[in-house]
Amino acid sequence: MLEELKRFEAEVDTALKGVKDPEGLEQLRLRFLGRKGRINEFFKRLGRLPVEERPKVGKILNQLKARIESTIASRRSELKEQEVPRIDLTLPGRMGWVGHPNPLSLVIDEIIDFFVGLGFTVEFGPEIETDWYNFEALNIPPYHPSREMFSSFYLGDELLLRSHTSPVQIRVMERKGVPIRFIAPGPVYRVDKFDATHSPFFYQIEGLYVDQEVSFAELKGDLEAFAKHIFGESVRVRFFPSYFPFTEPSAEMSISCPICQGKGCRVCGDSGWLEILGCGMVHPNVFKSVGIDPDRYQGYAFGLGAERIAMIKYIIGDIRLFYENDFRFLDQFR
Amino acid sequence: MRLSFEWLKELLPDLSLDQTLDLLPRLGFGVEEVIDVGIDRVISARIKKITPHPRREGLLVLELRADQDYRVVTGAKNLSPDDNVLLALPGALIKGREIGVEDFDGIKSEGMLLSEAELGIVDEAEGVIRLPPKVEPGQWFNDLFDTKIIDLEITPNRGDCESILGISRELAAVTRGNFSPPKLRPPRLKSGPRIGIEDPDDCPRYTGMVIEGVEVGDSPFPIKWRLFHHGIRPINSLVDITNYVMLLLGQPLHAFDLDRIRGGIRVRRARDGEEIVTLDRTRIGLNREHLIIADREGPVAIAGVIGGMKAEIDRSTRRILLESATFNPEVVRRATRGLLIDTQSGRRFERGCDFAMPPLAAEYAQRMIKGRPESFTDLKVPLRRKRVSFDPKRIGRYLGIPIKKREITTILSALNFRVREVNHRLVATVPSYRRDIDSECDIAEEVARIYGYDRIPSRLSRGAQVGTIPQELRMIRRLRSILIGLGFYECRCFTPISKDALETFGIGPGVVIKNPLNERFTHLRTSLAPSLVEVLSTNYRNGNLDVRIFTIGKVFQPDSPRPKEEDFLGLLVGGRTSPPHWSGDERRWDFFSLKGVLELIARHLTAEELQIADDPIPMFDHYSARIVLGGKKVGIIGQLAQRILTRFGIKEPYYFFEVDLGRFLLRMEEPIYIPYPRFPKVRRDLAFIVDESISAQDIIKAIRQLGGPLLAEVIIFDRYQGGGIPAGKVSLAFRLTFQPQERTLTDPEIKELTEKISSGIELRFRAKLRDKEVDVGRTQDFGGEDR
Ligand SMILES: [Zn+2]
Repeated sequence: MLEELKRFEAEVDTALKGVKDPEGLEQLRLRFLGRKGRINEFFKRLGRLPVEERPKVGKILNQLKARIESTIASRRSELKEQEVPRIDLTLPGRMGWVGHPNPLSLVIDEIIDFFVGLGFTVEFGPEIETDWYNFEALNIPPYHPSREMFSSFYLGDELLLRSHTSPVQIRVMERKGVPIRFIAPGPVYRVDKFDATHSPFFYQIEGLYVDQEVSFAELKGDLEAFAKHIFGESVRVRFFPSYFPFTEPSAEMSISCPICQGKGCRVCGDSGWLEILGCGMVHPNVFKSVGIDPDRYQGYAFGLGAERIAMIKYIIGDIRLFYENDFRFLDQFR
Repeated sequence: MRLSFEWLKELLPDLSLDQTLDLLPRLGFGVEEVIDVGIDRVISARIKKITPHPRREGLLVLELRADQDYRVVTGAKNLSPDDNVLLALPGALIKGREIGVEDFDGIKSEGMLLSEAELGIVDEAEGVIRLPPKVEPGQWFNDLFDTKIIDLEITPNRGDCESILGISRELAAVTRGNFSPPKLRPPRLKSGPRIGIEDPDDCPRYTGMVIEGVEVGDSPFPIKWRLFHHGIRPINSLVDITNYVMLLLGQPLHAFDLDRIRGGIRVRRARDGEEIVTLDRTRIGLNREHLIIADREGPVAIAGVIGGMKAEIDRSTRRILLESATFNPEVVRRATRGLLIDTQSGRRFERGCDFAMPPLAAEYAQRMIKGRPESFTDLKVPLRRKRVSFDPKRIGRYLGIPIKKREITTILSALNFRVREVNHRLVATVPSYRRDIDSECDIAEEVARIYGYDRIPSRLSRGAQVGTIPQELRMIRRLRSILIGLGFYECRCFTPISKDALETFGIGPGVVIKNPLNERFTHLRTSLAPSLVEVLSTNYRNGNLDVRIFTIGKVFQPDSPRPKEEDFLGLLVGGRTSPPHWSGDERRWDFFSLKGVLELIARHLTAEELQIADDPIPMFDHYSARIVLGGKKVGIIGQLAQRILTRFGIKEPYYFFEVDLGRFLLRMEEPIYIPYPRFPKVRRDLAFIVDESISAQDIIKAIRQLGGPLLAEVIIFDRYQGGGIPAGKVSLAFRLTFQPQERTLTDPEIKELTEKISSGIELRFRAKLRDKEVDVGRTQDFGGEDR
């Protein structure tokens, strides 16, 4: 009988595996477990066995019955699941929106992070300034022709909207003294046209590094590393003499056009070079205006426009796009 | 400044254009562009024979010699044999038109004689151009005249370079090749005329030369062509010479008609109420600010800026007073700024002119003027040459290069400094024209320019300081990334707005900009709402009605002695809260969804508890409140007034809040980990019926107080009005979560606490506990929000 039970077990497994629908399963259940089913048949035949074999075979028979019951139950729930109407899983998921940063923030953050990595801290200053901080302390006396380079919006006789971030140099040196090393990002205001390449409102990033031995060579080294960080290792830089009242010597830094690799294109006006920032060694008169001895300290300063950097980096042809905040523009930055 | 390459080359014969364009930027002069003004296929020609056209009246047939013989038919008048003219040959482009061979009744004309009008120098010309007799026929126009005009950017410190001489001096210092500057010498004439100077501070040097028997006519063509391409309109031979000398030497000159001057002249400040009619026929009122040249009767010129009509040179002029002077740059600038007069003379004087130049320039001009020089007066304060003493080692330290004393001396000598050594220091005597050189750092720049910026090495700095991002910036960055994560667009907006916007939004008088660019940017904003509504409007017009935007920026308030400026966060929402989905789920932004954003960022970024206080605010409809933090008003929140949105053509509701970040993002401490509680939370729900005028925020606050430290969280999970609730009342259901720190709470303890809370609320708010408390069971949940 044990042999027979083994064969029966195999038969049950095959049958249950092969069943396709709940009706077939019910028929199998009646056939195996019903009152006149096979299991009951085996139990009936149990009485005919020798007394000493009965408990052993009875136990096996009970285990088999339990196994068939549980297999049927699990098959039943499997078949039930298959009954649920089919859903197209390729339909789109349910989700919210994710926002977008203004590209100016991306560029400003990247610049801040670069200089912080170089050992700079970050400082801020007011947007409403006095003539002293915006001009005189920076070696720009009244009626100096260089005031034209920074033509300002006035709120009163002495109050104006800062026309560059350089006043932060004065404020921070007054507050913290030297040595010092920081950058100062923020909006500045200039009386200028508002068209594709000019804006009366823009973001500037000022840098100042003062110590006893900071030289023009460090100015070149740090700003060259900056240019390569922002525009890629293959970018070349050049420094040309320039003029700012608060630096001497003064320079302008140009980079090889990253768009055409210096071959000449519309963006660089076919020159292959793009001017990106002004810089120089801090003028001794600036140190004097904050009571620092220019014979003991020297340093460099620079100022750059965030829009200009972003326009080159992302090939944006119109400065007004930054302030329109059109979603079709912002959608492209993440 | 515009400057012709050919003129430069007269002083620097070895120079090529490419070399010039390479050197100028290295010296600090940015090249804006090079304009080619040359004309191809135009040649100098000499008239050999003139005959009338056999069949056409008024036309002449000319036989000309140039590189070969030509025959030209012309209608020009007053031609004589041996006249030198400019002949445009077939193929030449004149005023955009190509010259061809034309047939005039059987006679072929092989070109055209050019007039000044055809070259654009004057609007109307009387006849064809006559070249000076010494010009040989058969020379191409482009070999005779200026063709390459370099547009240079000259920084305001280099007034000395606003001339051919100035730029050529700079180039000569680096090329060290042939340099033949104009020969300059002081005049040797008898003394006179009478000149007075009121204040030598205003006018440190004034020279006047009297020239008699002058003849004023038309300038020769080459001078006119040259002036025209340096931005100066040719006037007459005399005025043209003064301008020509200014372009060459950088010294502005002015000629007065001496017969129109009454008495001697005096350089003095104008008296209030004095007037002058300038050469451009403008009447200008003067005052004590203005320095003038005056005769006995009154002003004849605004010193260094513009001459007066009264003593104007014209073709009848016979005697002149030629002025060559040095004026105080600041005084000149006050005049050009104050009177808004921009002249080439004013531009040079306000940048500072060479103190040594006035007599030399006068003499140079006199040599060009047809007439008899009579007398010369030179009034000046004693001339002191500047000396700069410097440490040559410091120059090397400043530039980061090892440079020897000898090289520094060589460089400075090339720039016409005289250098002496005094006790290991060098003393440089500065050329009279370099008004920009005052100290050691100026010397460093001179050395660097000639040494070459390119040759200075690049070294990454090694600072001892560690770079840090300040807390306030870290907070702003966190805020930005949370909002972007929540689906918001970050906007950057102008802080100036229009007066109209201030009025529309009802946000006060604003801070007035005294010299606004235009009517769009007249005031500094006092709220971020106008900025964000403009962004809304831009995108709405493009069909984006689902809007989630924020901006962080300055907001200003009028105050004394200066306006206040504060960093604000502004946020605007409207439309759907998530993209349309096939399942049909859809929510739209409303006041409470916006408030949820505010609460969420407050929970993340501030330490204080957020409160809302109803308050009618002009820019809001329906929902309008102030945001209160720690008892202070820090912002506003509400639904934007339909009256405002309608102005932008917007029909749907949009919601806005703004907060003062200075007060909102309070300094957060570094987190210190507190072991989280290991004992189970207990939740109890309590529902009260209260008067609908009572604010939920006050009840929550009271429950927190009553619950004490064990009460971890209170939320409102149901609000109900209607069936079963008396009119004017509302049912509010609160879920309280108790979190013991030290042991498991017993049932009697929980019961005692909830009873204390419910009776307290009933008493304080005249509320009625609605149901018996419901035990929602102990949970094994240790996580979740702990507030
Ligand atoms: Zn390019």
